[in-house]
Formats: sequence, structure tokens, C-alpha cells
Amino acid sequence: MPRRRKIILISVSIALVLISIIYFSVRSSPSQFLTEEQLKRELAESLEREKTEITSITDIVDIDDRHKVALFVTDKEQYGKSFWQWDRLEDKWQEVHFSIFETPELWMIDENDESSYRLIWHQSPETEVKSYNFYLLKRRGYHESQRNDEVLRSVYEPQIQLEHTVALEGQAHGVMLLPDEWVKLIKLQKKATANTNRRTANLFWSNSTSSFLFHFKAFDYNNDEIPEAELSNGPRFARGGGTQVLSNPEEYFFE
Amino acid sequence: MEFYIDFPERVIERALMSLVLLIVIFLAYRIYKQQKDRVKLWKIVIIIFIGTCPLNFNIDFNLFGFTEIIKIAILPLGVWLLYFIWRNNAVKWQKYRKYAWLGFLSNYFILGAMIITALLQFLIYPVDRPSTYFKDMSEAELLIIHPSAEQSVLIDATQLEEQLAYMREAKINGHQWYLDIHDMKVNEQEVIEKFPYMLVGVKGKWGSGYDSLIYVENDGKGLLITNDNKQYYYRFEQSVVTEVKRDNAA
Repeated sequence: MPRRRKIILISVSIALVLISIIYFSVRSSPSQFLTEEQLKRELAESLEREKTEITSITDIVDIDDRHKVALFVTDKEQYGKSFWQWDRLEDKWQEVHFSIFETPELWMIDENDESSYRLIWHQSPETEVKSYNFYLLKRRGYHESQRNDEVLRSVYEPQIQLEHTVALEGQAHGVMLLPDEWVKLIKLQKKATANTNRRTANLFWSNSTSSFLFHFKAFDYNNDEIPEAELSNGPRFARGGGTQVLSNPEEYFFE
Repeated sequence: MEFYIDFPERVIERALMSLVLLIVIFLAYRIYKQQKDRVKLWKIVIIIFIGTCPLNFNIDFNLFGFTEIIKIAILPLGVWLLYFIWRNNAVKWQKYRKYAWLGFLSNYFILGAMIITALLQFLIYPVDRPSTYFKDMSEAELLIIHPSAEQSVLIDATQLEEQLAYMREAKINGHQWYLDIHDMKVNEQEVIEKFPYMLVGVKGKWGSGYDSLIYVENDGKGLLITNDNKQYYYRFEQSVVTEVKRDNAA
């Protein structure tokens, strides 16, 4: 190849790389989040199918510059959450999920980072919830391999059950990070099973999902438990995905 | 928070794999030296790379407790592909042939390196010895993972270090332990988890690459270690868990 052609080729490719870097970094910086008016219009559209109207926006929670949660109230006195994410390819804010029920939800805003979980709740002030107990649960288990009644290998997995209490102090909505200790445990567990998972995973499925379960209980001002069914007003519905909806722990597995 | 950022992983495997790479480079260089009509470097790299593609089958390699998925090469598909491309050009094929076969051969170098890795791993980091898992306990921390645990406790790292010499491997009765707790539930007793603590922040022997979980027994005199889906259980005489006295005047 003649020298001149080589130089041209190299400089063109460097320019292309530079342009694409600039293009993506400029595009990826999120624009201003929707104003309250815009949000109301967007939410009204989402709710139209359910024949529900939005009456007010309680709060817009700033999780980071790419993730927001809008909390709203409907004309049927239902309390909802709407989860928004900056979409870098479409170059706009997108609603990833919305729900109308009053149980807390868990949103992992970065699927590769266990410390990015957020617990989000929006409770009717009339239900008079004094506090939530959140639970991190991993069920006890064992497995054994046998040959002719002789146990070759036995493995026992202890039950992991952690509790974290949050006093609402009159605040009917909130967003919080998981306790450090929980994040530490989830990360350790993931690291410890990574090698085994890598070996047993194949092209079509991977078993990398965590075996941890998240639950909650709500308590009133007499410290009595409020059953999950009594928390929400009217029919529950949600659209989208990407969050885990918390439920009360199953009686048998809760210790 | 990253806990093992300074912790080198699978040092033996990495060293041997680098050695395999060096051997392949050396052999390629020898072929290159012998040939009068030389092949361009970038072509050599591509041909060796394509040559490595075999028809293989995966086996769950398990030797001396070292487990890894390995591919055993049986048919030199990459070599055949290259031959097919240059089937009408005998001169070129003559030049490229050796590199392609070197690529295929490197699969067996890797297999050999794996076997040596397993052997060395077994000798240097025996999976059933506590010394493999407990090297540096200066950052050891006890996490309470069950409500039946004592709530204000600390790990006694000095005692743990002392007990290492007296640890006896004990039998894991997973099924029985599970049933015992099931019985507590059936009888509506308080559920007492056998291993209500987890020990974190302990560094194992340098370079083992193990990410193990260490559970501590409720009497503080037993450790259950989960390493790569297998478990080891040790019992000893003195408790390594100390209760923190809360009533001490500050």
C-alpha cells in the first residue's frame, strides 16, 4: 500500500472513532426530566386503559440523573408509582414500569450492581402505617448424593433471615437503599456461586439469579401487623416490569 | 464496596496459561525461521487462531477437587476450513499448513496445563484444610444472619487463629440438620438455626482464587465452609465468638 493511502486511511479511522465517542457522550447526557404538567399528561395516557384519572402528583423522587420515580394519586384514591429511566439510544425519558398498589417495590437500577437496589413505597396516609419491617430471606436447604444407602456428599445451606425496620414518622412515601450488610451478603453469595454458575450455565439459560427473597410487613400505631390485602384500595394493577413487588413472607419459611 | 480487589485469582492457572501462550509463540517463531518464503505476521496470528477451532466436547473436569469445564478437541475443524480455502493453491497451503496445525495442537497444550493446574492447586491449596481459607484474619467480621443468633457478638480472631491447629473435620449431616429444624417448626418451638453467623473479610492463601462462604455454628465451636458447591465442616474446643458486654460504662 502506498504511504499516502495508508496515512489517509489511518487518519480517517481515528476521526471516525473520535466522532463516535463525542456523539455518544453528548447524546447520553440526560435532558431535563419531565415537568409536573408533562408527567400528568403522560400518566393520564398510561391510566386511560384502566379507566382511571390522575388527580395529583405527590412527589418526584430524584434517584440519580438517569432514574426518577413519580408518585401520584388517582381519582379513586389509589396510590401509584411510576418508574422512569433515561433511554440513551432513544435519547429521551421512558416510563419503564408503573403500578397502582400500596405495597413497597424494589428497583435495581443497575442490573450489574447489587448496591443499586432501591426500596420505594407510596402509602395512603389514611392507612396509618407506623412502620415497615423489611426482610432479606434465603431459605434453608440441603442436598445429598447417595450410593447404596451411603451418603457421599452432603451440603447444608443455613437459613438467612435479616430484618430492617423503617419508622415512617408520618411520611407516607419514601425511597431508601438496602442496608449495607444486606448488600454485602448478596455480593458475597453471588461471588461464591459465580464459578459454579459459570460451569453449569450454557448457551440457552443461566442460573445466575439470586436465591434471595425480599419481603415486608406493615405495622399500625398499635404495633399490630396490617395484612397485605388491607393496604391497597381498589383493584391492583401494574404494567411494565423491572421491579420486584414485595409481599408478606410465607408463614412456614419465616422464623 | 469491593472486598477482594487486591486478591489475585487463580494464580497457578493464569501462570500456566501464559506459559502455553509463550510456547505457541516460540513454536510459531521456529516455523517462521525455517521457512524461506515467509508469511506476514498478522496472517500467522489469524491462521493459528482459526486453527485452534476444533470440534470438541465439553467435560466437567474434576481432578483433585479442582473443577472446571474443559473442551477436548477431537476434530480439527479450523484446519479443514483453511485447507478448503486454499485447496487449489498448493504453494500457499504448504506455507500456512504448519501454523494451522500448531493452532490445533495448542488445544492439547491447554489440556495439559489444566491437568498440571489441578495437581498444583491440590498440593498448594488443599480444599479440605482450614489453612487454605484462613490466612489473614485482621479484617474478619461476624455477620448475624438469623434471628436466633446472639445479637451482640464479635469474632475472636486470636482464638480462631489458635484453634486452627485443633480443627477436626466432622461429618455434615445436612438432611438431619434440616429435619431437626423442621421438627422445631412442627412442635411450634422457637427455630434455632445451627449456623446463624457468617464470617466475612477473611483472606485465604494468596492466589487460590477461591470465593468461599464461612458459616459459624451457634455454639461458636464449628465452622461450615462452602467452596465451589462443596462443603467442609470443622469442630474445635474453644468458642471463637465472644459476647459483647453492653453494660460496661463508657
